[in-house]
Amino acid sequence: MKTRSLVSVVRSLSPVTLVALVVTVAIILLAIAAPLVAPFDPVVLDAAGRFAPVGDPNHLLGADQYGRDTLSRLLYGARVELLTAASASVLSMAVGTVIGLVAGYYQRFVGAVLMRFIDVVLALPALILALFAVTLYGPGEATLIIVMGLVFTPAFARIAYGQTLTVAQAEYVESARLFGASDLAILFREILPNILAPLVVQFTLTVASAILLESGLSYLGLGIVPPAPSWGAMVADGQRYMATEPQLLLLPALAVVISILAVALLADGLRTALNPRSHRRSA
Amino acid sequence: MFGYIAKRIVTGVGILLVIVTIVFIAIQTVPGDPALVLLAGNGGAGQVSPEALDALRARLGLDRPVLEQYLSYMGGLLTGDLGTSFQLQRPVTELILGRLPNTLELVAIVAVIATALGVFIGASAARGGRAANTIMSLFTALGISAPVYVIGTVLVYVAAVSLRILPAGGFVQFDQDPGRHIQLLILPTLAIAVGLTSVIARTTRSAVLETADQDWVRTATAIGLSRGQVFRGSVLRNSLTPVATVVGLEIGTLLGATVLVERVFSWPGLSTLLIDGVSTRDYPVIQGVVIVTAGLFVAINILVDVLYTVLDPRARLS
Amino acid sequence: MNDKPVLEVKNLHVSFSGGGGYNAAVRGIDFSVGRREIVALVGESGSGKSATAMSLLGLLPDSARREGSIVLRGTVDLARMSDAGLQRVRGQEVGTVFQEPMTALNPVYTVGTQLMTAIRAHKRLSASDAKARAIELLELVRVPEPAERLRQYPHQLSGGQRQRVMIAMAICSEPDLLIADEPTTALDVTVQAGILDLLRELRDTLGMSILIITHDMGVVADIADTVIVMKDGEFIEQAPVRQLFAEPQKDYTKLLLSAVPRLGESGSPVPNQRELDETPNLVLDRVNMVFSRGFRRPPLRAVDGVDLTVSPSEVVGLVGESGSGKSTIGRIAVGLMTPTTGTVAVGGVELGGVSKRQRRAALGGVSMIFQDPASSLNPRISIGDAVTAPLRFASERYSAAELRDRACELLEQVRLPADWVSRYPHQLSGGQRQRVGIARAIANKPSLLVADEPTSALDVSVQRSVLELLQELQSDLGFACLFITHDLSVVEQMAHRTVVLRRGRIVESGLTDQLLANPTDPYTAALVAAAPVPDPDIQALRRSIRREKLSLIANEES
Repeated sequence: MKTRSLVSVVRSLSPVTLVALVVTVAIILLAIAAPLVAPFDPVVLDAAGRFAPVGDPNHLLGADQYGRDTLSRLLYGARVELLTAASASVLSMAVGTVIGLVAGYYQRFVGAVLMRFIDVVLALPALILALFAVTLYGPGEATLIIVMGLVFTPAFARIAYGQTLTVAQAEYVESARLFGASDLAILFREILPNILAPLVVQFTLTVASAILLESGLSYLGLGIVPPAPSWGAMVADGQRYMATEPQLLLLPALAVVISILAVALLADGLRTALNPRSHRRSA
Repeated sequence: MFGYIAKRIVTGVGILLVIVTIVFIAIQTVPGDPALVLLAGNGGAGQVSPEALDALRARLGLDRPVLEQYLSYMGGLLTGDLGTSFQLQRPVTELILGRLPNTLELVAIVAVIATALGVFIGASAARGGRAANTIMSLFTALGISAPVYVIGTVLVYVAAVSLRILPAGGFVQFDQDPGRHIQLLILPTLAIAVGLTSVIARTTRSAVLETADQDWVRTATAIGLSRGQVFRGSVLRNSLTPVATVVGLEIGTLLGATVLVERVFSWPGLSTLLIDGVSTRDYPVIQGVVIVTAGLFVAINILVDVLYTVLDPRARLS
Repeated sequence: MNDKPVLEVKNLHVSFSGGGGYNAAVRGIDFSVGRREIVALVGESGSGKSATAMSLLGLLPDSARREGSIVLRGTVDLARMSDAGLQRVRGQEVGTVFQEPMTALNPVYTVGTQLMTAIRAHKRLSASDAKARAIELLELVRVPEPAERLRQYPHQLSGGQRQRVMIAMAICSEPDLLIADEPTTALDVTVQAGILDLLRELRDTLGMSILIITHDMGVVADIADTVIVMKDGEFIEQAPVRQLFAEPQKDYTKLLLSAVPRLGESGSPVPNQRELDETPNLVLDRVNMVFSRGFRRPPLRAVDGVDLTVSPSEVVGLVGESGSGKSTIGRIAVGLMTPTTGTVAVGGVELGGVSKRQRRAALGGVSMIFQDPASSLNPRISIGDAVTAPLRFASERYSAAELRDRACELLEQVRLPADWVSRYPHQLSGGQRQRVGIARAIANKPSLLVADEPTSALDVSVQRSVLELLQELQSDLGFACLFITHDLSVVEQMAHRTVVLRRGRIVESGLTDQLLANPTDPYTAALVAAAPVPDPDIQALRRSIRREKLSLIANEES
């Protein structure tokens, strides 16, 4: 197994992956810079600019039924999407990895119990679990982040579990134990660094899934609380006027698809790059 | 082998029990007074009368000790009683059973089409050259990236609004007008199937590629079988297990996606029940839907596990 | 009667794609296999022998390239054949047996299904006729209870039986040539003997030629008529077997032959009596290790009532085949596993009966060398950090500078350059990694060292130097050593005293020389008889003795 520098990894990425990486980084930067870049405050109404078309001098990408500037709403929407998605992904990665590590290392009882817990979480469809949480705790970012964190934990736990099972058998782990390393040291110094690659890939995928899930909830009106902008809600609004003003539907739809696609392709590319064996031949 | 199935059923029931318990606990842990939270609802409309509050509390059983609540709750579940909807004043079980068949119809049709199509595409891509693989990767990436509601609404826009070849949504009973029923089925099915097909295609492709590296494939070639025979017998057959696993897991996502799509196309399945229930904080309804979907998921995965024993003899003995 | 050679290979080149280009694995070799001839293709890892064998029938990955001519029976050139043509040749005119029977058989089909598929690949037979033929074949390869086996799955058979099934599949159409790629490497030595006998028998009864690929000179001496030596993809030497062993021409061949340990050649080390009387470093007293296997299966008794002692400066060899429990005992000795019953005393301190701190202190003087160079070192930790790891966890605190110095010192002791402290495992070869493992094992100046098959995964030319290093270190540093291995010639070279283990039980123990020369237990005798000696004449004599000894323990080979 090779330990490669970051530079060599980046250099080995396929063109598609590089494009995906660039787009992702661009979206992240735009999201961070939204307050500086956006021409308008996204919730400000502008009666004169209602249904402004694309290319209007005041509203570059048009405006919605309340005259709110589409471009600004898209940018601020990006902010919210990425923030919630990233937070949820970090949360689920941390929790899931720890669960998987512990379950994989201590197999006997602890392992079985933990993995059963994972099975329980898996048994509930993400959307439905999210709706359940919203019913109880109300909509809003905090609820969303926690629920999404929960929903995506099993994937990390399973990966960490599987990888830990394999790595824990390695002789260098036995060696560390023999020479007196504490369990904690073994988990974090010997095992964790050697199971990171698939977890990183999963993190990227999770960000994509989180954006997907969150925008779905917002579409239903049960995600980000309006009037704060969110792409899903924008699609829902746009659907109402699609006969006459299709851009209200298509622009946010495009934003959602492009972001998720970029992150998903990046995940694909990372998986190939970090995998010692890449499938280049046909069956 | 039957021991294996029995063990799976027991595990499944166990998981369901845990879920049901968690659902119960969830209502107990809502910050503040659950009854107040549920009644105050969206926007906290005005005052909530103390009588209404008490009535709700009594109905939810919140004035009784926790253990008693739990037992009566579980007892109710065993008899199929999922409580009564606040809004509609009807038994939840009845409401769910009224809508469930429509959702299941979508789920079943999509599952079958997506699995067949997905396996075919994935296996073909795995056997194909670089170009085929790249094209498939990109298309499926798009397929899994486009949210179901986006595909749905875009489909409505294209097919119904612009081209006007299909209806935008709605529902008609199959026995009343089979033709129209099927017509109305097309767009929703398509919307969900795109995503699921893409996932299955990807899984199939990587499972096939990984299996193709295995030693027994080389043995099959060495004894003089044709490429096709080798592929079907030694590669495809062995790849089915990971694909089955993924399909089982994706049922969950499938159920969620169906909920969204039903909304886009006004298909009267569980989604309306669920979404309206969330907005009005109709807790018994939500609780009922959660339990039923979890039960469905567990049941389907038990079936998948049984399928395993057919596909992989090693599973039979474990 | 065609007297052309069965196979004639000319100017064969094979290269694999990788790292942006193509890497040559076979660089133009010529050889031929005659009728009824057994030709052995010998080499170490990277020699290209497997690539050669796989290229003959086009069994290489699609991305590999092949050039040259491969003429079968003087009539057809396999290299120019279409895929359809090759399909007709495979199995029917040339059969193949692979190295790992566990993975070479498809786990989801029964043995019967797979065997019948092979039978019907080239012949139209009804299902019942195919089944009859399958049973006939299983009897031919001496698999007991053939009808029963047909219904079973590969994972339900033992390694030896699986390999016999593979052979049955390969010969079902009575091919002219059988290609066997390291057919016995994954098997125990007693099982190996049976397979080699079977192959020879099949050659005699079916008139088949065999091209056998191997790295084991003992196997070559046992079975081959002609030997071809390869190195780094190149042809080194070819000769009839007796001639090659007696008068090797090329230097590499000489090197290869000299590196192979020969049973009965070297004398074993003699123990130092005075030291033997001191407190033993390791005492295992009535140790049992029982693993439960879940719900309805009987527990596995991996170690059964074992008494074992290792005294200061003594090297005790622990010999056994797979499943004998030797690795388990090794781990019990260093405290990685706790026995179900029985006591383990290290340096006089009984591990079970003391506090955690005392246990840790007692184990501070214990160390272990692991078997697999691919997994004994953490890929993300530098060599320097790896060798000083034992010191890191010890009770004394060392400064970074002290650790670095010690790391350099240790590397020099195992004859590696000191500036490799900053290198990573993937930059080292297998033999070099094992040396690092040894360095790590002596870092804490152990008084007891357990070596678990330290050279089994290495090429034979590297094995010798690693073993010599170990011997040197042992006599210089004076640690007691429990040396675990399956290879009798290695134990002969290294151990003062030897203990033979079978299914968790000690069947015999004694001074190495005596034990190997005059074994009293039938199992030990079988092990000694089955170990192939790299000398064709001696090996021919040993074969008949071996058959007799193996039959005495035959019933348990199931």
